[in-house]
Amino acid sequence: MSDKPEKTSDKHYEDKFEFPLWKLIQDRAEEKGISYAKAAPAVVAEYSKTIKYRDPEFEDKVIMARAEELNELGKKEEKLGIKFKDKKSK
Amino acid sequence: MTDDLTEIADEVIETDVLMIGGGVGGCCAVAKAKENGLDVTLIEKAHIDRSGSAGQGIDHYEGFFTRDGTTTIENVSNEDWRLGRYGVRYPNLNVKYRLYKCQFWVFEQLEKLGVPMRWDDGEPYWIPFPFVGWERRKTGLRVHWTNIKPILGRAVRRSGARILNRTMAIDLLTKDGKVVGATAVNIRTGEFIVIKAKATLIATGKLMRLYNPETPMPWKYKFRYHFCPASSAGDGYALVYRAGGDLVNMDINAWTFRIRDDLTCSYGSFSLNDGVPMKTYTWDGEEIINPNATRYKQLEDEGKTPIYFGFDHFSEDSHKRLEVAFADERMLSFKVAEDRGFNPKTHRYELQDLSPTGFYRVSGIYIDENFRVLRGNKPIEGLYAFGDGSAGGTSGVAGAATGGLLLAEDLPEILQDMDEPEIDISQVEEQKQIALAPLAVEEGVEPLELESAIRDICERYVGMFKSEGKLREGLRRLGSLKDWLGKLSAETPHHITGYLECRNLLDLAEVHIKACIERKETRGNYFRSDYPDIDPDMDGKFFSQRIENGKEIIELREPIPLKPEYLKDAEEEKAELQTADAAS
Amino acid sequence: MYIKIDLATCDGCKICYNVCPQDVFTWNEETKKPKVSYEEECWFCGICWMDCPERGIDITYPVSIS
Repeated sequence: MSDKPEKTSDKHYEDKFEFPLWKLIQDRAEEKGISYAKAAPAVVAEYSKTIKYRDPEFEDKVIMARAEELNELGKKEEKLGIKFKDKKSK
Repeated sequence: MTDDLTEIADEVIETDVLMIGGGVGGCCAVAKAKENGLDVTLIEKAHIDRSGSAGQGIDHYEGFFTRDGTTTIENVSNEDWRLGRYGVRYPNLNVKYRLYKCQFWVFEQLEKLGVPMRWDDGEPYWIPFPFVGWERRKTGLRVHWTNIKPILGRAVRRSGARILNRTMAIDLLTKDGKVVGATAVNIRTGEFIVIKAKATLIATGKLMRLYNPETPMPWKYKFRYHFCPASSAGDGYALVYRAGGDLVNMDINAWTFRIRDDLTCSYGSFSLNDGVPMKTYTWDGEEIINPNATRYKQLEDEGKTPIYFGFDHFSEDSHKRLEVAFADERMLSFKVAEDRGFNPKTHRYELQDLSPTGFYRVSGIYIDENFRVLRGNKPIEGLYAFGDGSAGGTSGVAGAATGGLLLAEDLPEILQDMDEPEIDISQVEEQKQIALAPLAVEEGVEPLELESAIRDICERYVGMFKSEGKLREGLRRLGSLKDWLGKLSAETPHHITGYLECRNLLDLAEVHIKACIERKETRGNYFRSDYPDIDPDMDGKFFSQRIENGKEIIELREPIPLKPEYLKDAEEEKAELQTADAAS
Repeated sequence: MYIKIDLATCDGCKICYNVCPQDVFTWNEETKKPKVSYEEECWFCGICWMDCPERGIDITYPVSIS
């Protein structure tokens, strides 16, 4: 992975894409002839099974990795004398 | 003048409980109060099936401290300390403590109302939090509540409560210092309604419309707030204030990034609810910690803005979680993102500067742990409040639901010995005249134009970085704006809503600016350019404001500490937990 | 112009008119169809769009947040 940070894209509107979950909700709504709001719960329940919600070890790993990144970033900014803490009483 | 209310009003209702506001909190209170055998009337400005902050849905229920429902004094006071970033502490810790103690009872009550607290596999899902230490013990539920409002709407209809949708409260009715009901207007038909009630409950949402929306748009679209604008006008705050109740911490408001690329990503809080914070970038790709207001100014000076949120570091699993959050809370985001090609896997969402937003959490209507609205230190008989508009513990969907359910549980006993309310008919006449006046104004001003002027005063003369001169000028100009209220016209009853909202916002803007003039320090996210340091004499204190005998009173007060019985309870629990920890 | 109702698909169920939090619609009793009468008060929540049983409402965002 490159160390050079990537600038925000020159394109404002990017390429067309689809959210997989949204496609499933639309398909179900059309199939059953119902609103998107009524179609969503059953689709979300199924889609959730493809996500590692019930794997706390996996989740903790992801969360701790990101927390560590933020920790390091915070230390880096502090070293540069960047003040991001608001005034607090003791 | 007649003595007969039926000659003045199109409808006169006598009820045990008047609920003003049909959001999550109001619907829970009504369903429970009906279950407890009371006669209940609910008035809602919009429609209970989709009204309030959770109208489009919600993805989280944040009511718990620990997964086993225990609450320790440390948890409550640590959260209180953490809120020091807002400048002050909770005005009354007992509210928060009471709410946290009963979360598993609330869980059961919501399930009884048909609200899905568990996922399809029969288990609830506890939100993982991104930090270690004591905060890891705090948690909440991830919920798929796209349709929470239709579900609660059905529960309210099944309960047999009297429901008046499209009905907005004008003012509370008072007699000998008690609140005895309210007047209201149907904003489609223009019908004027009087409701006599032994107990009047207020849950009308948070105040946000003193400032411009989260996504400010030039030209005519002025309502792109993060939460529903109908329940962000601070109606309940104004009703209470005009009836002599206290508003607190009206100098302190939450702040947020304005969002230029509106996708209602909730400033990244969808991703936070799954435990993984978004990244914040400068335009040239440098990752930074989320800036506060002074840091943002520095970034501007350094040429590093605009700044952006990004989710491009997310794994496939995390991107799917973001999709689920959209479905649960902001479904239109799917379409908007696809229409524009804003793919969260590659797009960076531009933020604007930080600016003041809503008055909630520590700000709003002053209540005690029995949800009684206070005047000074004493409760006002007949008046109750909970939810986002009440200060110090009942904010968020969990606060609203819990407050509503607990209060409804207490009400039968409260109302047992209450006298029948008596109405002062001159108040009714006056309030009717006020509400229907704009229907008779020809070629007047549109309510939205006056509201824009009110917001402009707060933006320009209050804002993030306050100072004496700006505040005084803002107050002066606000005084002139009040003369314009009588020039608003309503071509149809629909515009009575905007007119009554302007009336409320004018009162609340004045309360806000006067509180800011009083707080002469910089603390947390409250900035005074002319007083850049903390004033230690202000530590922990807060301002309360009310009208008493026609005079405005502003007082500096100490928070109400935990009651001895709660302290004892919390210490015993902590000791048990420590024993359990040591044994495990 | 940003909230478009497909009147051919609309079956007159009144859901959008009933539930809009900002009371943006009015109802035409003769045609039994909704009309967007107060579009400037819309906050683009998408509730009408997601609750329409015929999925007959289209919402796009205004030019001013392009």
